[in-house]
Amino acid sequence: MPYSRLYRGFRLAGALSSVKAQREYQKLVLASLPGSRLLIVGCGFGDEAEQLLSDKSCIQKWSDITAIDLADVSGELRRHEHLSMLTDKLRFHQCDLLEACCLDSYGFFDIVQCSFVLHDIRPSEKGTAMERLAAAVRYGGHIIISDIFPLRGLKNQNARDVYDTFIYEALDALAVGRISSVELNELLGDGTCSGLLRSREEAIQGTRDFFESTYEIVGRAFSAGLSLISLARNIDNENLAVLVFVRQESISDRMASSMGTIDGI
Amino acid sequence: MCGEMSSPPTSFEWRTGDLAIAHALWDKQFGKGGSLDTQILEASKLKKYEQYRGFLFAIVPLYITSICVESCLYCNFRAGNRGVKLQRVRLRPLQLADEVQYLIEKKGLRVIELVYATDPLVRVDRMCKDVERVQRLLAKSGGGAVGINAEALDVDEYRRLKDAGLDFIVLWQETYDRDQYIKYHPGTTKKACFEYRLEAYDRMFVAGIRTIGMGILSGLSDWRLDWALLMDHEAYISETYGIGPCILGVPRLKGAAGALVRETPWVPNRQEFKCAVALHNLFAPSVLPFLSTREDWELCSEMASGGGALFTLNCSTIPGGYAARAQGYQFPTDNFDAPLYAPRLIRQGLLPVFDWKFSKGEAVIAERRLASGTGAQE
Repeated sequence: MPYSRLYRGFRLAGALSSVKAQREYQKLVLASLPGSRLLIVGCGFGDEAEQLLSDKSCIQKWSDITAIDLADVSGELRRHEHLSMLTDKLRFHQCDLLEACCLDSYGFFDIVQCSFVLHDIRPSEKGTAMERLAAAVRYGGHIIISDIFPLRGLKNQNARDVYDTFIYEALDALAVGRISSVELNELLGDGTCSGLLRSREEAIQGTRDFFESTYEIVGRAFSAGLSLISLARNIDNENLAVLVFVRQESISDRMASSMGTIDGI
Repeated sequence: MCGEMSSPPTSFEWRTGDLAIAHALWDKQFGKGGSLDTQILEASKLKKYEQYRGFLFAIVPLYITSICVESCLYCNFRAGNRGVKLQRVRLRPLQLADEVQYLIEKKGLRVIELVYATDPLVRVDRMCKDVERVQRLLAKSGGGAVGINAEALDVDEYRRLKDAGLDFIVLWQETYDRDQYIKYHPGTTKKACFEYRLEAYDRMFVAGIRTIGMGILSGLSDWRLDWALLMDHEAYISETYGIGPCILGVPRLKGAAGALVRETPWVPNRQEFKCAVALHNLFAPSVLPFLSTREDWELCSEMASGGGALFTLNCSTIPGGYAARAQGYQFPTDNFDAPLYAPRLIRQGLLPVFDWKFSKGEAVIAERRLASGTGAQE
């Protein structure tokens, strides 16, 4: 059974400079894309959503915001200042992306945003995950994926490098006063309780973090009917990237709708 | 003359530049020889014919050097190859002139692609001199065009080549899979740097070169994704610079004797390859696929349906392979001798032209010598 990897210190992820940059970039992308129905996949405690939706214009722009997560975080979302102002438009559903058929009843979304989710899904299920994301967005709608795509080496070879970079960033955040030493401890953990140190060990052992390259994820996206429209590497941490896809109607579907069914398709 | 073109079997419209076209690569019926393939191939033939009326543009590769510091695992020219099916040759200027004279006078070929391995003694100075020299020889015989196929270069180097009279430039990205690219191209040369190669096309445009060729070596990684990303890359280039590539490189991995990688699980079969080229024709009908003699005659002529392709007839992939009859190769090829094979194309409803040039990014037939089957002087 999948389980949520949320832990208390996760709220502080935004203090890491690279994560902060990922959010700022996504905010720009989100503001530039058309649409009024947004699906946030893997919303966690809502810190990222709070940042992405912090402009006053969001109240007008979004008619419907749906957030899903493995953990029940409905109470957490309401505690955020901006999210609480969107209460009448915001709904939360506790579910696993891989079993998110429940979303069907919500109709198609204009934009799907999915942050730091795919790397935790096993390779055998990543294709399904991508298909679920694609199925949730309308034709012409967009999917924003923010995640870890190691630039050097494959799979978990570089898990150590990925997490070491996060840990250095956490130390930098302490040095510049973005977090306190207590918060640093919450973020890192002690190696036994949840935190970056334990995640690092698990990733090295191969029990979590099933990294793929951007090439692989773009391949999965294409086969799910999504075209890549932009790929931005994070300057602060080159292992992170934001990819934006657009959902295309398949040629088979277009042919079928223009001329009736094609034999064998 | 070209055969009668039948109407397309459907009312479905393939929209030029529509990236959704790339998704057909993943259709379960794609490349299986069924109705989807038939529709793609027929629509491609029709689109090509509408624009090019069956004309094919003859081009010949002329290898200048096979001395190479690169270690590309799939290439016979790789630095570590100690002579398996290979002579290391660097053409001297006079030898280059002999080869060019031979191709112009004996074979009637007037569009010449100069091909350079990464030779430490053949840098951009020499390339510029070669371009100027070939242009002079072509001018004496009534004109033609010269392009290069070499390692990725800096903006200033591209600018110098343009000033030297370069008409076009082709560069194949090989694969868009960065991890595989790094595996296939070990070392510390510029070619070993994925990003440097990927950004070379931008540098060409910054340098003012407007006639460029892009392509991949099908088979180095997931061929479907490489083709899709190539289309994506072309769309980016068109959007950024207001003009897309004019030439499409369509090499398919072929095992070379001295290569360390001779086959992979990712090489598209004939049907898949033919359909991928046709699908690209629907995405970008004006772009000319560069059909090389890596493929056999039947496949080359099928892929040329409707016209609008660069067509290699005489082909040697070793410096001095024409007039000097040097032996060896970069990769195994056929050689379709122009005077013999051009009439075969005509019988197949295609019109090979030897005397043409690029103008504003398009292939233009020289008015004075419209194709008569062969441009060779008998």
